[in-house]
Amino acid sequence: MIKVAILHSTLRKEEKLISGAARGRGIPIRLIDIRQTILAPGSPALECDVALERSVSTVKGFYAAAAFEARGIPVVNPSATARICGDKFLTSLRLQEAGVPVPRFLMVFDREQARAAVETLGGFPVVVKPPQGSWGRLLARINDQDALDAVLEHKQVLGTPPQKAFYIQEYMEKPGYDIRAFMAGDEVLCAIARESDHWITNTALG
Amino acid sequence: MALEIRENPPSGICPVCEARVPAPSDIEESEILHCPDCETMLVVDSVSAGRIELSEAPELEEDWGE
Repeated sequence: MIKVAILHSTLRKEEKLISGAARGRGIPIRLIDIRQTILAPGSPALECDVALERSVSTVKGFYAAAAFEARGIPVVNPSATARICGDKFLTSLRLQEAGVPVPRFLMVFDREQARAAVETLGGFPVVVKPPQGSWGRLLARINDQDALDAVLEHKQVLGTPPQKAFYIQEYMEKPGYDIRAFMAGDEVLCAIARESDHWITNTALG
Repeated sequence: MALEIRENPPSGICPVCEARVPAPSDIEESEILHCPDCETMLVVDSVSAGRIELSEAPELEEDWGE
C-alpha cells in the first residue's frame, strides 16, 4: 500500500479532511510537521512514497518539498511549481508565456526606473506589490508621483531584500467583484466571486 | 439494562486563563483550538491519554499564505 505523507505546519481543517479521507480508504497517512522535522539528506524522517506539501509557510514548505524530492519522493506540488507560484513576477511571466491574458506588468529596482515604468504602463494609477506574499498584504494602489516616491522609499529603507524588487502592474477596474477560479488542466473545478467596494478583494481581507 | 461507558473527550488547560479547553475526539498535534473563555488561539503541542497540552498559537508570519 502506498504511504502518503502530509507535510504541514499549522494543521488546518483542510489537512484534517485530506487525512480523514485517506484513512477512510485505508491509505496509510503520516502527518509530518515540518517545523519539527530536521530536513537532513537521507533522514528516515523523510520516508514515504509520496508527499502532499500543505504548509501554511511558503518558505518552509518550499524547502521541505525540495528535501523530499532530493530523496526521489514525488511531492504535490513540487518545489519548482511552488517557486513560480510563490512569486508574482515569475507567475506573470509563466502565464504570459502560456498565452494567458494578464495585466501589464514589469519589475524595476530603483525609483527612477519606477517613474519611467509608470509611463510604460500608461500612467497612474498603478499597483505596486511585493513579489512574494499572500493574503493581500502590502499592496499599494499608487495614484500619483508623490505616493510612488513615498512607497518605494519606504520599501528601499525598511524592506527586506525581496521588498526592494518593485513589481508594478497596471491598475484594473472591476465591476464590484472579481472571480477566483481553481483549475486542473483545462477544467474549472470551482470558482468564487469576491465582492468588495475596496480595490483589493482577497478573501483573507473579508 | 446495559451500562453504556463513554470516554470523556480529550481536553486541556488554557495557558492564558487556565480554563478547560475541550477538543474533538480526533484532535491531532499542531491543530488550532480557541479557548472558550478567553478566546485565545491555541495550538495543540501533544495528545496523550485524553489530555492535550496547549500553548499559544504562533503569530501570523510574513510568508504565510495559500
